[in-house]
Amino acid sequence: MITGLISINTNLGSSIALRYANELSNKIDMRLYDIHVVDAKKSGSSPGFGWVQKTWENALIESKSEEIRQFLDMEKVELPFLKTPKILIGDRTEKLLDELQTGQYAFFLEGALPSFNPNDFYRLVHSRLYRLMPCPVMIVKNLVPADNAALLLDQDSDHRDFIAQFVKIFNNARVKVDLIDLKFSKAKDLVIGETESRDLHMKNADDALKQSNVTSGAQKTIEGAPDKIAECLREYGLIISFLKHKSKKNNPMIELLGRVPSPVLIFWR
Amino acid sequence: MRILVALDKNPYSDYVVRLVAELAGNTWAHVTLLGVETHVSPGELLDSQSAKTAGENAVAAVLDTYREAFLGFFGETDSPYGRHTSGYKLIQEKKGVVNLVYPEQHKRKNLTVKCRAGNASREILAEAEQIEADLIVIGCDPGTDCKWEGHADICGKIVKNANCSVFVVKEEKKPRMIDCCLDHDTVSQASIELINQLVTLYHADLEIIGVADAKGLKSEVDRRMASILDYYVSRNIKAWVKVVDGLSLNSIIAQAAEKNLVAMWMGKESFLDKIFSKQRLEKLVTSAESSVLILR
Repeated sequence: MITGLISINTNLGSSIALRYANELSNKIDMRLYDIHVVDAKKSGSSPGFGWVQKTWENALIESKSEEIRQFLDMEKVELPFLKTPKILIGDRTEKLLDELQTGQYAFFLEGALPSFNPNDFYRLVHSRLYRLMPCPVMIVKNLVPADNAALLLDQDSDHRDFIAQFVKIFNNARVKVDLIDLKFSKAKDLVIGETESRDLHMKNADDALKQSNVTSGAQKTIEGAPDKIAECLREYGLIISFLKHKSKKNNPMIELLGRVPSPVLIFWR
Repeated sequence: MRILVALDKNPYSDYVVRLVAELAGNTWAHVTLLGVETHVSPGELLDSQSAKTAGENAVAAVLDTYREAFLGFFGETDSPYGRHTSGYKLIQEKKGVVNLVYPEQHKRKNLTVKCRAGNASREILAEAEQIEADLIVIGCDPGTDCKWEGHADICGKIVKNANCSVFVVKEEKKPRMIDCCLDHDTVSQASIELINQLVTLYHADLEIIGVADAKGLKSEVDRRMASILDYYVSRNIKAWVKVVDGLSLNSIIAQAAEKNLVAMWMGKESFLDKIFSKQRLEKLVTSAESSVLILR
């Protein structure tokens, strides 16, 4: 069983993430731990120092715990969460990084509502939290059935490490995974085709999936502009890709992952 | 629910009648089919509509065929609007307003057919007010090429001045997606139901777009989006969510209107009203290539 960390707030993004995770837990053998970080800056300043500050922080944590508990009750999810959500106070980024580094989680999961502006996604993946994240991240943008996934590859990269990380999470998963060989271009229309048997990287990826009892589906090549490809991938319940921590703004993969409305799972390279 | 259907003699009105019949089949709304005679004075309306003087070209005669098409959607036995009957009497309701009255039938819902004389947009708005319509449905051609007689901007004028929801049907093509923009939390259940019906009719996906201000998405909008999402998910409707910055809403809406059905909830507390000034809204509706739905 793998363990993941889910960041919870009392908003629509978290609601979607929780419900999606709930469904995914029926397909992947996983346990999730939930965490909520109370942003001390947003909560105002402490009325004092020492025990006064401690008392103030405890009161904040208590009230947030109750709020989160009510939120989780309303969502009626069946995930094996910790009975009491972990509530921390301080800087969200630093607290989450601490938890991820000490907790040895297989992945981090959070909800993030998609926007029309791909720059918002760029800002998210270039935030300090994501840049220093020691594990893959699942960004849940919408509530969709997690029945099928698209594993994105390209011809120019060595995917062995990426695939090895992927099968650690998806070992024996009941999710059909299509292998998609991507080629970005500025063409107006998409070109979708079957992959040829000589595409060694696709064959290797397929073999690795089969060895880990992952249900592999179709193998396709898709060539086109990122926005068109993103639209085409809407049919999938999860988009899985690797990304360099220092990917530039004009990286077409950033644009693609920013535009696709389905949840995305990013492995860092 | 009361639906006012504004019709003229152009082909898009055939489609509007079919669409409203489907909608009425699901909602059992009270329906009024309205035509406007723009070339006669109110005092001459009754005479101008008689079959002897105007024949098949009279607005009343055209409305009669629309009524037949509407009723044709329903079976003879299970129609909530009564059965097919031929022959109608023209009864003047008041100066410039004539009703087409059909033989008395046992019907559960009203299907009223009437004709008005005068300026088309003014008469449609007056009728909507008179019957306290919840929704006005009007057809026209895509883009600015609207063929309503002498009234290329009729849809924009109606959207601008109506107090109820307005559905401007611009094409027969079924949209793949219905984009619903929301920036406040006072959304009527009737409008949510209406979207539900349209999603079903078009077999379309639904996108609930939250409009954010400089500080992000307001918590009340976030909560409202969550409850709307719950409503649709519980009805097995595929609903996506998205957030748009209020400043770029204008261009995003214009872009989306090219291929999807754009619906905007414009309540009293809505700042969509400010972003889309009435003139801008009029322009959007007049120039859109696709259908537009304004929810109030």
